[in-house]
Amino acid sequence: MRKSLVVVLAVVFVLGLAPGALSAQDDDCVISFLTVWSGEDELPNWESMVQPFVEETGCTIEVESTRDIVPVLTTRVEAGNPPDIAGVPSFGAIRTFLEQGEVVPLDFLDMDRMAEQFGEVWLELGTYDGTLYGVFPRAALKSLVWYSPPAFEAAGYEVPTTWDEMLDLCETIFDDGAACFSIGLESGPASGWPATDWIEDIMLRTNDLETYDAWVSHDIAWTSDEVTRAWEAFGEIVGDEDYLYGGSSGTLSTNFGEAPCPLFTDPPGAYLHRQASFIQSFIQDCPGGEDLVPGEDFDFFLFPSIDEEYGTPGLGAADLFVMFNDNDNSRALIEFLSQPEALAGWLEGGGSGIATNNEFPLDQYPDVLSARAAELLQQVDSFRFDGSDLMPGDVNQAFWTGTLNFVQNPSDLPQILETIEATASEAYVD
Amino acid sequence: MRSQESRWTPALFLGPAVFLLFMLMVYPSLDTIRLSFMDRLAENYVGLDNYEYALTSTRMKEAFRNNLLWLFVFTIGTVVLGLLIATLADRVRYESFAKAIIFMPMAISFVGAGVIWKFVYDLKPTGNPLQPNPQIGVLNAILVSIDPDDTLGDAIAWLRDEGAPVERGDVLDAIVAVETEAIQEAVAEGDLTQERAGELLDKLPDRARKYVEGELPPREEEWQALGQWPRVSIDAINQALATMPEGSGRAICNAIPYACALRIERIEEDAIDDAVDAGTLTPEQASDLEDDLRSMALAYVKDGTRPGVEGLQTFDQWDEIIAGVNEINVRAVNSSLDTGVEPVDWIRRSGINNLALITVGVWIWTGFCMVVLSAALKGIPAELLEAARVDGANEFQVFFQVIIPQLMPTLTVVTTTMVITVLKVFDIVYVMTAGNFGTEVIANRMYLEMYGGNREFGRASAIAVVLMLAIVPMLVYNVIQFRRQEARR
Repeated sequence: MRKSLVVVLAVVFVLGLAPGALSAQDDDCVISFLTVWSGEDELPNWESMVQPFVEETGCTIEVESTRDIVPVLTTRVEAGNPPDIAGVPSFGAIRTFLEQGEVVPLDFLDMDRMAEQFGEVWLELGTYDGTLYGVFPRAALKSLVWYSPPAFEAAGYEVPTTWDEMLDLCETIFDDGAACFSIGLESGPASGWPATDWIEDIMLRTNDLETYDAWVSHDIAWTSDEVTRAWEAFGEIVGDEDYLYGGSSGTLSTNFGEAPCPLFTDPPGAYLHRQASFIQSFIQDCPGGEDLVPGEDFDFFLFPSIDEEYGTPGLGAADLFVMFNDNDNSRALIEFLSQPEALAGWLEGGGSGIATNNEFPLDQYPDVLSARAAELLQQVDSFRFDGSDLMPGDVNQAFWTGTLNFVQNPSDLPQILETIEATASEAYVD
Repeated sequence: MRSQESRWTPALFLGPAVFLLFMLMVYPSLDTIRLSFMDRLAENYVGLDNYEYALTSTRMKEAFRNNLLWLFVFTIGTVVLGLLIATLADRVRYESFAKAIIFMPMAISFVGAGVIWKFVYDLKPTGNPLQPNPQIGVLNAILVSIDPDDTLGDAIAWLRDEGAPVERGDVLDAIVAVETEAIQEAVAEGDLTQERAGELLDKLPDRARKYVEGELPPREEEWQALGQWPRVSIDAINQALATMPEGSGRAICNAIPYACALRIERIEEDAIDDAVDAGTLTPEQASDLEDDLRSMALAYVKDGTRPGVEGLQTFDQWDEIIAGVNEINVRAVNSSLDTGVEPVDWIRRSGINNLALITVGVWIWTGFCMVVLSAALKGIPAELLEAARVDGANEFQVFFQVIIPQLMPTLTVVTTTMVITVLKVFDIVYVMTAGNFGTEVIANRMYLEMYGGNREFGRASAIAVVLMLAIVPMLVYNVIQFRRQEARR
């Protein structure tokens, strides 16, 4: 009786240890990869992107996906069990790991080749303290305003080229009984992020680039005139219930992925939607969206200029790949991701994105809109990375919350900015 | 031999439990206390800084306030409802069925419940009277269905009351005409089959009539010119309005006040801008005036309320402007018709949202209270109740003077258990609002400090310790009560 219990316990114990013991002895090439992409959306694109690498090396890439990447990464790094490679939204999210030297420097890459193939801005963004820590194969252009050309034609509207023209258009659209913008800020615990993109785009269009950078690195305060003005400009749209599809409560309760849909109903509920290039796949998920032809039934224009002096800069984001375990397999994967052809598989798999590698051929883009976004990215007067992604996590969080409160009560702006400033003044200290 | 075995037996039985308890409870707790005195990355000791933050920062104050609200409403809600259901269910034949239903939510995780209730509370943009949007959230769907919005048909009726020669038939004809043309075009281009077009055309008069009564045709029907229906309707109305004698604007304004308020707003805004250019108004005065312009104009149009501010440039002409109104637009009709019951943003509107979240908690935990109390209820000797009834006590007296005192020990345990549960509340808040819109709670703040991106080990630990300190007295009390209760048996 007692013996059998011991046997059972022993079996359980061994079984519990077995997977760990086995994988430790394994010579097979297995690369663990932590990402926010999941099965329904972009994970298949990733699989299609690394397909050539997998075929060539015979490596297996073990994917772990999570929506809450920072907590998972924190737990795993703290436990001494980090993934080999992680795909993160920006350095802001992993700032602490960089500070603590837990990210592996990519000094094995040929820096001359990198400098030749990548724009300076991308290398700079992957660099921390003078060393390259991350590669960006894929970028997204965020400064896009989406619309439906057939709806515009039917209503006789023209694409606005300046902020004031856009406000005038909003007034006209309102007179015609529809809403100007459809904005959706709901995104679970990250609710509010689409509004931070708005404010960043406006910051870039109402200030010089140095001021924008100073804002991101908190060298100017959130309560400064420059920042306040940007929020107030955003308020010219979101402060007016009439310009928003569903008013402010609709804006707060609508999921960002469903927000473009009212542009494509008949009659349109709204006419404009500001969102990054990735929203294309969401548009085609709208009711009836599978029949919409990119470039004909939906299209975009560059978020218009506000002040001529600052032109129309581009705001963007990119996927950053960083390495936590230094081994040959991980190195090979990073090397692969830095090559010009890396993005091809992603696009073939139906994903959207813009190559950051200059040697990626324009004709490889799957549809007109992707190619146009890539062209626009090269044409913009200047380019800046999504500022909120670069800020410390606390500040980003406070920024999200602040935009939600602003949409709910635009008149609370001074308190909202003071709250974010209070968080920022602590978060940037070290 | 015997004595040795008896010495080791307790150790053998207790060992695993003590070991696990130490590894999973004691050690982490002690380490958390240590970390709570250290800085962000647990590198240096910082004294009581983290506790200062945990007790005095605005975000934590908000969390404390909300936890207190949860504490009262949730605890009272679950215990009172649990007791009520346990008592009532005790007296019906389908007791086990009723109890199973109430207990069911206990089987759902907090996260699952949060997701389910997020749908219950869901709010979709409302659209407007000419282009309404369905609500998929149960609560809002019920709200919106209580009192349907005024319809285009009502607007037509008001205009007729004011003497405007608007025929409902004209509006229907206009819609039918534009839709028929669009359908025929679609057939010619091969987008619709002849057969399908015939079906649509048969339905068209009925659909147009329903549209005027405030009902949009279902999405799946392939109407070709639905987007033009509002404008075509308004054009038909405007044609009729154009036949009215000059100066009939007042009548139109009585029916569609916004038509006139918008006209006044437009003219006054231009005048204010001119005044700023001429230097008679400062930009600040102008922007203040413009902020309230629409509501002032609307009040004047509706019931002649005179604006309570100085500086309006064209006020003396407002009557003239109103009289001159000779048309309406879609926006004016939409605005004038916006009178139905507004759906509520349950989880974002302050004042309601905390209660909406607490409701979810009560929904889950009432079952637990009910089951425990029900068991205790069954344990009350029947002769006690009999005796009370024989002595002439009515049912209320039996309940309050016999049952409640008998249940007291159990009630205390249930209540303290609920207090401990509610102090730790996290999942519901994290899933439904993530602590935004004034719904922050202590445990959510702890999670965000730790995982919100900055890895604030120190602060998160300090908050955890504060939470633990709040819970421990309840825990101790609970154990003492439980022992007493056991001893009594």
